[in-house]
Amino acid sequence: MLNYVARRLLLLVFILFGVALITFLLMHVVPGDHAQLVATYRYGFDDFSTDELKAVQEDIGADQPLHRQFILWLNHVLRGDLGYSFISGRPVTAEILARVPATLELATFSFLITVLIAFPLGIVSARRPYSWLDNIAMVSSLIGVAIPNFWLGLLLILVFSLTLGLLPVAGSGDLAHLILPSITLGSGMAAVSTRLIRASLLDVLEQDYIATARSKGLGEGVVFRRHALRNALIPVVTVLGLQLNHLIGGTVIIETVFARPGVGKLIVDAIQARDMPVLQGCVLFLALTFSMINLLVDISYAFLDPRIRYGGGQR
Amino acid sequence: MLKKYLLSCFICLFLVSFTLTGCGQQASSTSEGQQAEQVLVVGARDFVRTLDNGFLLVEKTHIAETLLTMDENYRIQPVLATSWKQVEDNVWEFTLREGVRFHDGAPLTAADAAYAIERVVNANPRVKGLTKITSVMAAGDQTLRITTGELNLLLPEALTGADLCILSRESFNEKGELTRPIGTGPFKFTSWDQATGEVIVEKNFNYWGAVPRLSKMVFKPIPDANTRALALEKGEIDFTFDLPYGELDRLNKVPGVKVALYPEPRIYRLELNMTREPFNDLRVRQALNHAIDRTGIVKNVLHDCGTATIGPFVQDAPWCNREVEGSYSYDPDKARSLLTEAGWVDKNGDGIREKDGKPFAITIMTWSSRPGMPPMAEALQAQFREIGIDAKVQILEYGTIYDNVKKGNWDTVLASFQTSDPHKYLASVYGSNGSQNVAKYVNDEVDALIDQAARTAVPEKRYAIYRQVQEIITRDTPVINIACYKMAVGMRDYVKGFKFNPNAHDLHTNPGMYVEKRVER
Repeated sequence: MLNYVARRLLLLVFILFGVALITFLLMHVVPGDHAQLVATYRYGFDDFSTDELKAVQEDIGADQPLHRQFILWLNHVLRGDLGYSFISGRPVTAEILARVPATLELATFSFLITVLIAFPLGIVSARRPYSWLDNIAMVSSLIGVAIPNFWLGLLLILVFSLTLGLLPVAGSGDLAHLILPSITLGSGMAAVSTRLIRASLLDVLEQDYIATARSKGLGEGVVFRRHALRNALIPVVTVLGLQLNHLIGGTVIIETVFARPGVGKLIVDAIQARDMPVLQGCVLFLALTFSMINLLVDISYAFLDPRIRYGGGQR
Repeated sequence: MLKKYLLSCFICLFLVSFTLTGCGQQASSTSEGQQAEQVLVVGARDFVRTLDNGFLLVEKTHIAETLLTMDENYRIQPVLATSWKQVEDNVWEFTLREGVRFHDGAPLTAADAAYAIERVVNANPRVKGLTKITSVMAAGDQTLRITTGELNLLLPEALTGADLCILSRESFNEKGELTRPIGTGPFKFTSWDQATGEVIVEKNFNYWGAVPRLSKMVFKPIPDANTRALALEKGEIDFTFDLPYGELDRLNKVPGVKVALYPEPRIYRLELNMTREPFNDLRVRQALNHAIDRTGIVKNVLHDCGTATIGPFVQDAPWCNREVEGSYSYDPDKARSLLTEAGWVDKNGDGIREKDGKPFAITIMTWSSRPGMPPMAEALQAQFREIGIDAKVQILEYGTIYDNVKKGNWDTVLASFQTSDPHKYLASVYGSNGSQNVAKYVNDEVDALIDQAARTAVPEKRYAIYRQVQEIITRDTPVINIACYKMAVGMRDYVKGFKFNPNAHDLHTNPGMYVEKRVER
């Protein structure tokens, strides 16, 4: 096991390098004059003379050949320096760290809501397939998948903040500010997970070993918890891991609607303004969290299913 | 068993939500308590990423001040400098106001001002270009001497820019990074919470001018325009700007909310590729001008959040030539006859005009980050179709559009740009070497006039030259102006004292604002 983890961590270095290189190249394939865009966002104006643009170009190193720009950046990163934002002039590490708490909070809470909705609903649906409860759960999860996030967010604000006056409209800070964005994100993901849990459970319940368990006289509850649920979890955990990844990287829309200064919004702003140091820093951060979450998911398989073993010598 | 599990889940959820809503109520009651002591909560558009930003420090939070400012009547007014004179062609002297103190108690000296200005000029090529400053030094305790690299009669104008605000040296660490802004303004910096994005400033009791009535301003970032509107409706914020056009009517009817529109120096314009057919023909450009129903576009596309215009500047700017407004009336018949005169006739009866066998087909490229532009492009498409032009709308990213323009691979671009600085605007859009002259428009008379304006010190005389330029460019029409922007400002009805300043960089507040709230529970 330890061996396996070490190998995966070593692989991580290559993943990070590859991700950084691809992002860098993609951003330079996308049309648009980097100096012009950086200048517009940095100084808040859009009327630049040719001389002014040239000064900005030199300042951000855009006058250097591409490979030199990348090597220069890599050189700094290897010495633990992510550089400074082209737009704000602040250290990239500080900018990212300032945004991580809001994102992490939102991701954790939405994830909790997903789990709290998806497991009870999925289990109930699987226990009584095609019952009215199952039908309601499946129809509502279909709606949950189909509703766009930003729309649901605004609708929840209308109902819970404006009409009922229970929760704040936007912002961050205390727990009350977390409820609506987490429900918005969590409900959409719960819809996917509910269906998956149901399908996976139904699949397992068809297996021979369930029949065996039943025939040796185990109660239905025990069969369900000990034999069915645990075996049905592997695909579910995989998808939950992916969803957690999605939460940490892809919460841009929710962060914008609910005015939470998170990493997602930082990335979108960095792409628009061609703020390469910030973008590269965020990408490294995301690739790192992605890889770590995936590693944890893989390790959890071994606990869920004792047949899965990592590392040599066990077979 | 399962039922028990479900039940406990529900109880947990119920308890959690109960405690959470409890928190929410607590928070709102304290914010009402604060309002009794004159707090203004501003819904800002952007997350603050750095405090080192002149617009934030001068126009929004009023922590720092500039040497001079331009009032809402476009006249230069003294702030930290009380008088100034040009001692030689390239040397200016500014006398600083006596008795001004920074928020940390230290007196403002010429050396402080020199340090602050030099720092910005070195870091910001735009400021360097506008001011042409080569050196700044203290010539006495209260006298600042500024040397420019070449004659710059517009130096006082340039010094009104918010970038050139005077911050104390103590605001920076040894690496020159801004750590805590210490200015001279009516408000002083309290906090910047990077986790919530909130910036808070408080009243400066020792301000040299009129001490503000507000005890505190809170800047709460809400990037989404719809969310800003909802937050204003609920009263979570007292004041905000840049509301969605479609929401204005509804918001105005919400009790306790008022919406006001102010003309802003920013224009919607249709740029034309004058280097090739069909736009190299003046008659075609005139025809397009007559084909556009500007009033209809402002009413139906912009929801009155704009002003129909032929010239590039806001109507009440002293350099605006209002006479050009009569030049191109909405007149599709005239447009049709101009096109026929230019040789564009519909021979095959498909409704699209042709010339030498080629149909009049063009593309209108535009970008979507400014919400008025895509629907405006569609309105233009329909209006051009009326006179027999087949226009295709392409929504692309800003960078992509100007890459195509640079390669000469374009017909028209519907664009939006600032027009606040008349000299810079005319020179860059209509000057033959202008950085925004995408039409490649060359008119020696215009070049000569712009040159002459740069050498004319008296504002009224300079403005007269700008008006002359506007007449020529309206006649030649290398760019078709459609509408000026208006800024939608929304506030609760108890917010008083807001004065819009078209010279400020769109989203601003005034230090004179206050809150007049009935106490009710």
